[in-house]
Amino acid sequence: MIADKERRTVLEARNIVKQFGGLTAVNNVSMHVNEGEIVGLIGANGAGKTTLFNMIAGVFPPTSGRISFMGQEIQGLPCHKMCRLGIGRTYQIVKPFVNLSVLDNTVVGALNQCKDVKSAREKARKTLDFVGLGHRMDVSSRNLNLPELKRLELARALATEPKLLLLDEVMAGLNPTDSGRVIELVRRIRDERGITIIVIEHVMKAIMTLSNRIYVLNQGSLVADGTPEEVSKNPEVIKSYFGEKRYAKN
Amino acid sequence: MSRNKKWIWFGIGAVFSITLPMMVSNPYALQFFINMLLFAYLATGWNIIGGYAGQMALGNGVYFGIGAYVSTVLFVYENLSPWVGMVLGGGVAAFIALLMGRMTFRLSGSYFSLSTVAVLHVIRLFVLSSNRLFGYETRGAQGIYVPWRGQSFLNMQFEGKTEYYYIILAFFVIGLFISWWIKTSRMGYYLAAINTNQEATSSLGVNVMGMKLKASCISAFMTALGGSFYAQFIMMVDPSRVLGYDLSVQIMLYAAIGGRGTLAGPVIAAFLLAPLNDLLRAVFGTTVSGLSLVFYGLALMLIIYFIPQGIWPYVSEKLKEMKGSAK
Repeated sequence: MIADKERRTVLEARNIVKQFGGLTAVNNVSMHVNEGEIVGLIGANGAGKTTLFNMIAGVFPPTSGRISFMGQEIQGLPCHKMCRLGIGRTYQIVKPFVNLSVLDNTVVGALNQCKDVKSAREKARKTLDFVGLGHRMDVSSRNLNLPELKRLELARALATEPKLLLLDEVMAGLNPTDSGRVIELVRRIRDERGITIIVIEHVMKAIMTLSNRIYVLNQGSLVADGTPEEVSKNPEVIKSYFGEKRYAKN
Repeated sequence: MSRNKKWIWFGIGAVFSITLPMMVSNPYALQFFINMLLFAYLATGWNIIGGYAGQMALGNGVYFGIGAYVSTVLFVYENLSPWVGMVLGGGVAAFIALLMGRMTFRLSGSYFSLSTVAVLHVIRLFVLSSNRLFGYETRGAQGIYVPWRGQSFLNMQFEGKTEYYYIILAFFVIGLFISWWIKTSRMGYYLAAINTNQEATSSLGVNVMGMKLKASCISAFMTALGGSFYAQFIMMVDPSRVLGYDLSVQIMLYAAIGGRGTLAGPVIAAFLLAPLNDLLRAVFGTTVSGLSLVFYGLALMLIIYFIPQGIWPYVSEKLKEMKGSAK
């Protein structure tokens, strides 16, 4: 890992607000992510996590506030430009290109930084080996099971060579064994590829073991941030996550 | 081995198509083949936007009409060679595709299809009701006759049909090559991805709108060239012939029945169905009017019912199965 003082800020969001009509989905959120970090984003359903992701990934612009990536202001840029700058993402609900093979799915991502189809295919092959889908390359993505589809989402995003990767519930719907493997994979993405990662996750054990720092959202507002240790002891978090009268056992 | 086989098939096809006019002396029979090639070419052009990119454009006939009108008007009134006129017509068609695309590509699914039909009808009615367009006499529904200026390559006017056959053959081969090139290039991957999920595609760094516009412009350009050729071939243009809605549907049907998004599908379907259409019309056209269309429609319904995925995907799947069982 990189020493603390050398770390640059990869992403910084300041006073982000997103309103859909009268509804404030994200309310005045500020956060930053340093190079080489894995940052967790947690909160109950409807807390605004995915909305925040969508603004960083360029699906829609924030109503107000600023987002800067590697020192460059990026709020309001369209999706494909965000990707070309180096922000990759996966979707909560997997979106494979079902008419294409696993390899071709990944090639679409790899073409982002490759000059020609041949080198993109080569890179896609390597990326699929990296996420452990090498043996399924020529299968139609229609025939993959959920754990494999999640890996395909990762491979596709990785093939675009992101500097920052946004993972939206990559473990949702997986059994403990499979999600353990994904945790391992996410770590390797950071350690071996040096990619900074923001994770949205509901599986508490996963997010606590993975993250260097955690931001907690509740009804669109930031209620806490800090190390997993600090966050799990924060009474606000316990209240918003487990209800008024319950307390986390650990 | 399979590569060699491919080249052998390719060779057979090339020799057959080049020597065909020498074997077929009956001009009426040659017209069959010209029709086949023209529709194969048009369906291949539609396939780029409708098949690869999966955008169900139902008004591609509008570009056919634009190509036909632009080259004809320039030939008749400005004495410009149709070869130059068709490139200009293609340019106009591509420009209109760009304008329309910017507006209509934001719509999704059936709404997009409907908007392309609307564009076609607007332009058709516009041409139909105007006696003059941009200062040139187009005479509304009557259309324009192309005057005979003597056999010459530059005028794209020939006494026999053989030359027309070779011209459309060249169009077809070039069109097929363009389609193949797109399919195997970066653009092909992007279009296939756009076909299934536009949101995911844009998250992978693809400018979805730009790609769709590019595909639409190429498709429009190709279709317009076909229109110019057709006008020179039948020596007239009028709105019902070159701007009809049925032409658009026919182009789309060939590609869809052959197998959308495949290289060979639209070609195979056009080769099968265009002659069938002509044949039925020749047999029943004079006795009971409309009966040929009944049979034609019945044939289409049967194909769509039994092989909804398209002829070529079905055939190639069967071939694979046969190979598999042979081993």
